[in-house]
Amino acid sequence: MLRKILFIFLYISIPSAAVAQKVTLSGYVRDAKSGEELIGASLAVMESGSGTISNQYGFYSLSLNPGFYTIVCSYVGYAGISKPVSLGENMVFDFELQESSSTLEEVTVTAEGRNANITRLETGTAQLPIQTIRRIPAFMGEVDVIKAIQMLPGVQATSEGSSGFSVRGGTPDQNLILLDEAPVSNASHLMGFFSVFNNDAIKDVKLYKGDIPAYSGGRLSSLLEVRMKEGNNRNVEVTGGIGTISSRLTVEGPLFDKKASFLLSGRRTYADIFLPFAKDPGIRDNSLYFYDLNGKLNFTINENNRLFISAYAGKDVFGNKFASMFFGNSTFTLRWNHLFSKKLFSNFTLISSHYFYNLGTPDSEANAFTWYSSLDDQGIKGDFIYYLTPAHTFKFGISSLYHRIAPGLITAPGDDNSFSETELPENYALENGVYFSGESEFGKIFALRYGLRYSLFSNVGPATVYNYDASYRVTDSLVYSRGDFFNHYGGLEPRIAANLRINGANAIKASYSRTRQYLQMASNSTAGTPLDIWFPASPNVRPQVSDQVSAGYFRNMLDDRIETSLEVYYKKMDNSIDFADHASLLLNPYLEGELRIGKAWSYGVELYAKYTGEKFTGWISYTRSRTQRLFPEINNGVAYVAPFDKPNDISLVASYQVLPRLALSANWVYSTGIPVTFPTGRYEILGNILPVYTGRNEYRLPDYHRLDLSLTLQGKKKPGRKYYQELNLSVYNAYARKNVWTISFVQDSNNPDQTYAEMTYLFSIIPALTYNFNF
Amino acid sequence: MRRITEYKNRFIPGPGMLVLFFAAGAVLFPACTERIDIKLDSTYTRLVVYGEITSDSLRHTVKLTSTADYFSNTPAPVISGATVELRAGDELYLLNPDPENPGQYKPDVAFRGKPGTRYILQISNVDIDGNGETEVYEAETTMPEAVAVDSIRVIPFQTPFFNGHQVLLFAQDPGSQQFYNYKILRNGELLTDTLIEFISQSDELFNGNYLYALPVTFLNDDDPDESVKTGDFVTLEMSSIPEEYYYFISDARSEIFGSVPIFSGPPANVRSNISGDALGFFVAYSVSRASAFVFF
Repeated sequence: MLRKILFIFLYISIPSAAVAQKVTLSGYVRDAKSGEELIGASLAVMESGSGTISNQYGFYSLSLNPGFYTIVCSYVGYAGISKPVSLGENMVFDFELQESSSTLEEVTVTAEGRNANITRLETGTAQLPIQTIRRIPAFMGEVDVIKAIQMLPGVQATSEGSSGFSVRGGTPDQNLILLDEAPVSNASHLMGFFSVFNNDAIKDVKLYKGDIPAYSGGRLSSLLEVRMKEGNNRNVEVTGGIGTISSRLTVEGPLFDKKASFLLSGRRTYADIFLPFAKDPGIRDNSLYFYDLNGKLNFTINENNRLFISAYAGKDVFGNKFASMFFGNSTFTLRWNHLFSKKLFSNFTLISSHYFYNLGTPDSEANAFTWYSSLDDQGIKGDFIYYLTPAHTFKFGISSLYHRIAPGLITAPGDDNSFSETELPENYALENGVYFSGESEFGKIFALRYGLRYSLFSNVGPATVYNYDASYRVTDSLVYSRGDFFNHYGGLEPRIAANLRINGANAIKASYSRTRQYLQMASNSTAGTPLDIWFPASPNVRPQVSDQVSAGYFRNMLDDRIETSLEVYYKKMDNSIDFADHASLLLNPYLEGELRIGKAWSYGVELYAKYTGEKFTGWISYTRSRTQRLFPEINNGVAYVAPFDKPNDISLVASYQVLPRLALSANWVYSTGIPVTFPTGRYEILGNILPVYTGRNEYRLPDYHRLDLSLTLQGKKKPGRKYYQELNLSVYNAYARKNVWTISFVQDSNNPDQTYAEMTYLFSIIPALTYNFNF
Repeated sequence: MRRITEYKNRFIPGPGMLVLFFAAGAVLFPACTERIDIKLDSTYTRLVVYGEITSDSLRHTVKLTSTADYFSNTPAPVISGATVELRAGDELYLLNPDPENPGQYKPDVAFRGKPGTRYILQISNVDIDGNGETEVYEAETTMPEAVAVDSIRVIPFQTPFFNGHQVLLFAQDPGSQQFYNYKILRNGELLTDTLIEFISQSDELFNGNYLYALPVTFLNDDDPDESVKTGDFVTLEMSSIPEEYYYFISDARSEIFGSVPIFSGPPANVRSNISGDALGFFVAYSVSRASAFVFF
């Protein structure tokens, strides 16, 4: 592997004869209005049929023989540009695309590049521009990228209204969520009903469900890349909204003679502002809100160097005079883009991410206590992209991430306090990765992506490692001192994908990927709580490993207005983790004794069809899948269905421009009810009826379905008028379906021999009104 | 008011957290419930045993019943005709069926349970699976040493959701690991006689400390079954219980309260210390008490 990397380095630094005569056309693809870089824009060379895609920073590079070419640049939702170039020597050209809806004059519009789904190598990926996400009716009017992701095939919400999601049968902690490359360990607000991503500050999200690129690692199931806007570098722009539960304000604009731009964005809910009006004093005297702050700065130092600073901070506050709870994330990244040459793009990143929660009672109370827990990640990485020719691109890089987990510190202020100060031992670990990958096109027909990642994980002292006997009782412990690298796991993670393009409208793709996960969350419930407990691989816990194969047929119709795909996958997960019956996960120093190790597998078919028209856009996705687990010590060693197994899952998303200023959107979701464990027998002890269970997850909740609607009244757009406004009315659960959240079995208090089943549902119909503006 | 009990001592001691979780419930989950028809499978019959030996009782009982279908909706079938023997250290007692309470077995002689003693219960001459052959079941438990209660205090506690009284405990927790179960008596009447009302606790957060006004329970004014008023005489029974019994109580409570997706893991059978396929528990625990009048 090392030799291979070395070879590539040599290859890059010594210009070989074969590529010496080529000249390079490079530059950025941007939104003409805001100057925002566009990620994943397609650039096609009409004469040769070859092409490339703008990278995560909007940069592209095409090395061609000198000559005359027509380069067509296109991007979803934008009018394409056809640019004739006479290429004699290296040349820099930045493409600036106009949004389709704001196209005022005739520009060369082309359909080429709209078949990106056919030409792209990746299987099992979906990119959603924020414009698409905004059209989806939103829960309480809060546009939410995670809720939009849940509408895609193979992706399922973990429970009603939750921002946790399961990808191809995986658990929510197997998704790596990156906000401008910084990991976000808990993307939820308010027990999961809202995600931490403020849509005004977000440019783009991309989800990899199976074919996770070699540059990323550490999670088994998926990679979700959320990218913040860079900030308008042409004009100062203000965007905002006043919603039913929150308000948002974003300011962005150029700095230093357009050499830099900034973005500052904030969102805060104000449910608590209305709490004092509540009749019930129990509701009145609470504080309850969350906020998000996003900031971004980017500087163009010169043609070859750019700096980006991104920061996010968000917090939930909930409390009253008796007790309170806070939790939140903060992330920070500093990135430096450097062009070693027009063909070698690089990015160096410093990463910091912090998640914490804190709950307790006021110090003034008798026997006061607080509970504090946190997870910190600090990292550094270097990524390189080498554009050899339009047909061959190579990526390689190295990363290192340091984890610090503080599972719980209980403080007990005051002299007469009955409680002791208790601290669960912290965990430290270092996760390193090195990768190389290449994308090669062989003629117009066949393209291949091949990648290899090597990850190396080390537990670092100080640490206390407990040994357990066969019945999971602690036998003894080993203590490691500070800086002691006392345990290592590592392994290769091959990733490979192939694309056979039958023609411009038909392609067959296949991929294989292996992923490893060294850090996981101890969560036993189906709904998310902020009380996350992450724990690392250790001498007692082997890393989870997943192997996934997938294949798909992609077909476009009606001049690429209809995109369809059929994908199948099979995923096998080893060293999967589940928990002992009645496991105690919170504040447990012997957490590892509650783990049970087994395997899981998932397979499915995903059907997807999308229509992009002038007035009507929408998609339908259907997933047929199964996920099962086999753990020798759970369910008597019999295989059982995984908690998020929903064999049938349908999402329908549609948006229609009824009148020039009136848009109507709707989505409908349907899924099989989640598996649950119900009692088969009962017995009575001291007047209470206790259940007898015979098998895990053998029953299901009733099927889930829901319709959401939204109506947007758009303000007049006139040339010269800068102020734009719109009013959005959304209705969640429009036909008031009582979707079951949980079923309890209750002993009748009037007749203690009687038991009955009782369902709980969270939401009926919920309307919300949002006013958005931009100038 | 089921919800108040539900959050009571869920995993954080003290009524402050109880109020927080209750507020969370009210503000975040204005959830609605309704009855639903569910079809459940049947399962085979198992023996159910519940027996207690205590340090202050002279009459100990063991109750034998069997399991039934979940929606059988009739009293639990009792097991009569079993042979029940209790070995207490070197002594052997025969437990006879109580003619007034079918399913209950009692020793002929009165004796007091002793801390440190190992008790072995043997049940034979029962044929639960109905295959014509009898089975033998066994359970054993050791009574922990009692921990003295210095005093208790009963003070009013008002919250926006509910008003009532807190029972505060004063006691020295020993340095070794302890598990407690608290019961409350109002004017000599036991208020907490069902499993759901048991309040059990491990000392992991206060091991070896002096427990100074530790809130052990909350008595809700709106609930006539537990409310207290000025002049009432309240007794706290603090039992030192074996670790396994603590898990039995907490498992049972979490199964009775049902599954709340945010808090609970998947449902699972309540742990038992009876051999074979039998369910239930056989426990020996020691008791200490303190009482106080309600002044306010």
